[in-house]
Amino acid sequence: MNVQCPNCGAPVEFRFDDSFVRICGNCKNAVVRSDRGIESLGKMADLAPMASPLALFAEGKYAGRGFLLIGKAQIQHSAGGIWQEWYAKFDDGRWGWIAEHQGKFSVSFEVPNGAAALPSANQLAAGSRVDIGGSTPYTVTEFGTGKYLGAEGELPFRLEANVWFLFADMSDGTGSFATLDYGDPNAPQQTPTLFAGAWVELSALGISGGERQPASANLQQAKRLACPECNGAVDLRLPDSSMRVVCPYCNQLISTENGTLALLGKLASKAKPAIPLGTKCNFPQFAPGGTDPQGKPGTAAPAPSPFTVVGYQRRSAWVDYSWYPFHEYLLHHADLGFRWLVCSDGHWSFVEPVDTAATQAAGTRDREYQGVKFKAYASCTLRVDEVYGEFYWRVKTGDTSTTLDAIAPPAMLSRELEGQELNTSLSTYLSLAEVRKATGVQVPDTQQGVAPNAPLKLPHLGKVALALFGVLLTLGIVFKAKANPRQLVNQTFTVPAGKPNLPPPPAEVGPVAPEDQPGNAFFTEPFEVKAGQNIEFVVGTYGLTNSWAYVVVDLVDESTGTFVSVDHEMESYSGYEDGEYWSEGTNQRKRTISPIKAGTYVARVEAVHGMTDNARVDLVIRQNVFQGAYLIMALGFLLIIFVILALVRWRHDKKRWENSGFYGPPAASQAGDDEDDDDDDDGFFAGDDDE
Amino acid sequence: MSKPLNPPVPKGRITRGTIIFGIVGTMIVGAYAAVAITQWEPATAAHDELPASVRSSPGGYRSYHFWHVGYHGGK
Repeated sequence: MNVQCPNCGAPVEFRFDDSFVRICGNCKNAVVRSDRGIESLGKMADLAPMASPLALFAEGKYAGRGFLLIGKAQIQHSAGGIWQEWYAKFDDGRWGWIAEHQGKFSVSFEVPNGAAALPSANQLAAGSRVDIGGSTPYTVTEFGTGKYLGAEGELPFRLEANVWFLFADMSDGTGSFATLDYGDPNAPQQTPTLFAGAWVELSALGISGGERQPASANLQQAKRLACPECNGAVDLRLPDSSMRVVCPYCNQLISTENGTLALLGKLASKAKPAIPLGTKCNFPQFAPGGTDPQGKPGTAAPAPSPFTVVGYQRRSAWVDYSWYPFHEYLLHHADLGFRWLVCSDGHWSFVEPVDTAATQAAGTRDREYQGVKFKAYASCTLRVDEVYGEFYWRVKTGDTSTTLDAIAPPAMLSRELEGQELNTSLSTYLSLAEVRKATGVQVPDTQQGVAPNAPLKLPHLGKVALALFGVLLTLGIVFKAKANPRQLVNQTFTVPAGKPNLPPPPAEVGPVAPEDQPGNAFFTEPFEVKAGQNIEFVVGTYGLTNSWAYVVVDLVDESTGTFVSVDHEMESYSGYEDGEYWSEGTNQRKRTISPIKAGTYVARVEAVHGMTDNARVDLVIRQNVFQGAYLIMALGFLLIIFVILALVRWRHDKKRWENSGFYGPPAASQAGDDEDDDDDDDGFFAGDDDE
Repeated sequence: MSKPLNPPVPKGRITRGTIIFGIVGTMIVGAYAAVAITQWEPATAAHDELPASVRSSPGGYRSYHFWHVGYHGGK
């Protein structure tokens, strides 16, 4: 349908029957068609140049349906940021909304007459849980206001420029996305308009064509501007995104909104970041095409593009009634958008945004993300002390926010609430060497203590120990079951009383006349000894009282005459001393020897003792005996090492938690007062999940 | 395809201490297994040879231990 622009008379074409508004290409007036005819909604501002891989009249695919991008609008957040929405006409006739969120994309569709009763505006806050009829409740990640600044192309709704509207962005943590539009913030609709869809990756949209070439040709180019105060050169690396920049010469904070520079005031102190602005940082594990920290191969491009340091802020955390400073470097990546490099107490972390709804409460303060439990570490107020470089939001010193950090080393999950915006981020601990290598800057070593998300000392110690103990005990059980002892000898000998008058060893071994035989030596019957099995001797001289006995057992191989000899010493004494009974020694000995050659053996037993009566000597010889003592020794060695290492790890963890605690924010006018605000944040952190 | 929208939780990398513990522990387990399989014993037994002619004559020789060490009571 072709009409004439009511403002300038230029021809305006509505390509689709169900589009409402077309922006006049000539005068930028929003031309609306209705039952009453054609009218103008007023002039739209020129669109701010913003880099985007999307373009008008580009084609793409989503959920198996093709679409054509036929309109776009720029929306300003009440906090100053600008984002773009694209309007897609799908093959099946539906209109879809594709929104860009700093490197992320969402596709949504209007849901008329949603299944669930939607909450009114006064029932919502950042962190609220909303049921929109799906299987999973949604979490409000932002509850704010925005206004349309400008638009292009054809739009499926009645767009009015510079009129604020109230919205709530939500996600369910599994990739679904939804927005509630309440219209006028001063008189919000009782029943909001629901748009529901999903987060998508750009590549999944298969964007092609369009009026402008997407991708790299469209990336924003750095600019050099003159400071309005000192005329010094101010570099804007991200002119499309930046809203604040600090003059490196006069330290003026400058607004860069709407393409004009405006002085906002001189900052009290000049920041000195350890990593210079503009530094390229190579963190392949966090970039597309890199490898993740576990070494799994990444995806896409073979050479991950670097991050660029574009801003720096020194912030402080109110902990233990003091402000503790830490350093944050704002990084920009061409594909990913913004990330952070944070240094606290000399410990570094790489910080990535996380969909708040992807985290769940796990108890009062703990959180869960991707099945991993993060233990609450600290909740405190954060304050911006110094800024330097450029920022995509209206940063200023003195800004405060409230945060809850929960840890699962080497990761830390932080939920930060500023106004009605709830952001969640995941920090990954980096070693100093990793930071130096990635940045190429010899950042100083100022490490103190143990960082909350410092890697565990001896990670997986418990698992390794469990595996070792498990294997050892299993082996013990198997060997015990296999041992099956076999008795070779079980015989009793009577050894004559008295200490025999032993003749000296004969010069030559040979037969001795019976009358010369001492009577304290005996042979057993022959028995079979098997190869590869140990031999246990148990010798007992029962009835040994306040005396001693000495028994030698020789195992003689009948075929060769070779023997092995094992001796046993026993003594057993007891009595009363000062009315108290005492005893010492033993009348039984047990010895085990290694396997010997298989064959037929006899045992020669020779014994002497110190008793005045005859002594009874019991001899038991067994083979293939399970030696439990060695299992206990092995378990003991393992246990000792494990306990030592566990103590080392415990000490490390103790240091980690020394700085933990929950402290409320001090009143702005009395920072430093000894007031206990432990529960101030409970409504934000504990109750926001309605669990 | 780009990275997933939500980054994965990094896992703790195994450290040298844990590896050494694993190696030492495996050596202990291995040593126990070796001892248990071979039924080796640290106790030493004296070895010698006894002529066949005296094997039916228990007192025909003094046992090795009686020759070399002997034991004649402790108290």
